[in-house]
Amino acid sequence: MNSIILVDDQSITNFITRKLLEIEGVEIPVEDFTNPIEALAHVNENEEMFILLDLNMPEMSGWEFLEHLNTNKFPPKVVILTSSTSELDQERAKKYSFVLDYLIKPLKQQVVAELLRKYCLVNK
Amino acid sequence: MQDISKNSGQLYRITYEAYSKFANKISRCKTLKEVGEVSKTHLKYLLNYHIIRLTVEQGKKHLLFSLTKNEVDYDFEEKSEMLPHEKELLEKGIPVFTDKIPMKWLESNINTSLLEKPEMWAWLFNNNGRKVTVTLISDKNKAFTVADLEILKLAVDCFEAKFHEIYLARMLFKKNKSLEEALAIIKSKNIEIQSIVKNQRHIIDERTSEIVEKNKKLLHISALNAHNIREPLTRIQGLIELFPHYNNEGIRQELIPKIKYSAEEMDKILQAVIKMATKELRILKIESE
Repeated sequence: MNSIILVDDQSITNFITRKLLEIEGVEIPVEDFTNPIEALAHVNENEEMFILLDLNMPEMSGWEFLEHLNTNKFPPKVVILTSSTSELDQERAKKYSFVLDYLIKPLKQQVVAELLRKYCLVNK
Repeated sequence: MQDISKNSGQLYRITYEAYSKFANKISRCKTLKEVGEVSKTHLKYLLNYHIIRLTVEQGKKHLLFSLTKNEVDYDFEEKSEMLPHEKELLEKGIPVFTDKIPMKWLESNINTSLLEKPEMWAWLFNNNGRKVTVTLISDKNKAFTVADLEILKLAVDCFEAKFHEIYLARMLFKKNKSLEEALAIIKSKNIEIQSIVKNQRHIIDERTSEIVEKNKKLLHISALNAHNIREPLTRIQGLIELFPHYNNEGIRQELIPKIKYSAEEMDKILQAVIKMATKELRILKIESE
């Protein structure tokens, strides 16, 4: 895995996630975006990217973001990180094969640790 | 040629034949007009009369019929009064034979100027349990004798049965008609009711779909609100999650301002939600009034 990308319109959320990743010993580069359009431009098929994606954003919703990624031949791995507890949203997210998980905020340190272990994002 | 008036056997046979012809024809009549026609042609062979008037007891009422040479008059509407001698007959049952004729009645039915010494006969008969009064006017030219009473009785029998039959048919027709009218009214009311029901159903459907739409809208708003409120709250929770990894100074410098910012944002959202809910409630209140 080359990098982790955080996409959330709230910079504070990105701050929290980044901090939790650091605490859990992530060494690969972490980049964060409050504008999903910019994040989409940054996605590069030649690099292995792991994206933590919010759903409710003003410029472009997480769903639109996923639709764009869906046109890629090799879409990056995505984990949804949202404050929406809606089951409808969870069902909808399952339709994308490259969406690995659906996490509900607030993000806990323990959940981050499990996530890193599960997708081999740390060398622990 | 032999004088048949002196051969009572032959006379009886002729009278009997005339009567059976008369009775036969009367029984086939369907209307009073036909009864009148038959009487006109056949009754004169049986007995002499200028007018025969019948009152027939029908329940509590008395139906009136009068037969002149040419026609049958009847009063099914029970508008005409009974004559005084008829009332007396019904009370006492004593037959009447008199030259004191209620002229007013007679004149309204026949031309009395041609009568010569008119006489009035009247009897009370009991036909099938119905009281029937018979009044007959004869005169010198058309004399009635007691000998004719038997044949008159038979004729009255015949008339009374036919009148009764026609009366019942008429009542049946009337009843059928009023039943038909009632049925028509019921039908039209049914159509009216059906259209009202249909209209009501339409209104209910419309109102229901309106309410469903409103509910959907409200649910959507409430879900959206909950989500919007939850977002800054999760930030506060996330920041608190970081506390163990900061020293006091770090918490004060880096985390508290972010918590404060998120709390303020949450408050703004809550205030907006309250404002919107109040507005919705006001609209609902106005609509329901």
